[in-house]
Amino acid sequence: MSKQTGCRKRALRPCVRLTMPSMPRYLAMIRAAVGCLAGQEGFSDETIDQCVLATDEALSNVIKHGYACSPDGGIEVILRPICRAGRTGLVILILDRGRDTNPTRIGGRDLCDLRPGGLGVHIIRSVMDKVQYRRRGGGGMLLRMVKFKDSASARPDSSGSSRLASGTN
Amino acid sequence: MAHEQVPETVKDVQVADGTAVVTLTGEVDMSNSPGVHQTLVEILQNRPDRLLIDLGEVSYMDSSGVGVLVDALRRMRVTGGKLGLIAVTPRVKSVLQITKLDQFFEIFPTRDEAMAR
Repeated sequence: MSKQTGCRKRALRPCVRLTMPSMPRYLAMIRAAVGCLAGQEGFSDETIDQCVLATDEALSNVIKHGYACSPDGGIEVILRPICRAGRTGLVILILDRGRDTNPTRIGGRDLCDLRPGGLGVHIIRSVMDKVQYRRRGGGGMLLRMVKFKDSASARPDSSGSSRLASGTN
Repeated sequence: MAHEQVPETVKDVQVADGTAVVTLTGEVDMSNSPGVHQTLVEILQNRPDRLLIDLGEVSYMDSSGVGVLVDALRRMRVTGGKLGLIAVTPRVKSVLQITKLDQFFEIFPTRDEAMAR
């Protein structure tokens, strides 16, 4: 029998699929679902907060930029627990059919400017372990984010001493 | 001061002696941050010397909420006023730190300490 390393090797894990209209009022429901699933997977309060925040920021960007705040769009959120090389993680996919954009042009702005807006991508890249944007065939964007259970802190190169604090969700 | 359709997120607004104290509560995200912003803009039209925003009951804030705070700070600077944040919860403070905006705000642990300044 092969040695297990913290979680089942290549175990097929079920995923959770959620859909929401491109309306901000539904953000709280998705946040609750992400927090609940991450909690069930044994993530710490800190990493739960990070997953929740990144998902919220991603969905807000889709509503604002992908659908130009039109409430007629649809957004799919897929949550899939994973195990890779003994590390437990959570994959969060955000799929939309809004306006697509060149993935290489999606980036955070200069944080030296004291002005509102343009912070979402910076936050996402700071708190998640892997972030990848892709254009979807047929229009829209796919965002794939990964957070590993044993990766608690925000990236030092992005945020200095920043950490999402522990707390109930 | 009359505030039409004050969002539930804005729990209380008190203005006295040139200081406006706004208490927010709950979760501040894209769904309600425009309402919070509108409330603050209305308050700032009266040009208070100080704007204090109590965040002690804010359990969650995303970048849209942070953007509202930044806009209020910019408006206060234009008029020569000051803005302070009160009782910033660890979760909200973390978002400010990630975005490196914590350096721009004067943060007070309690309302009493903010009022004493």
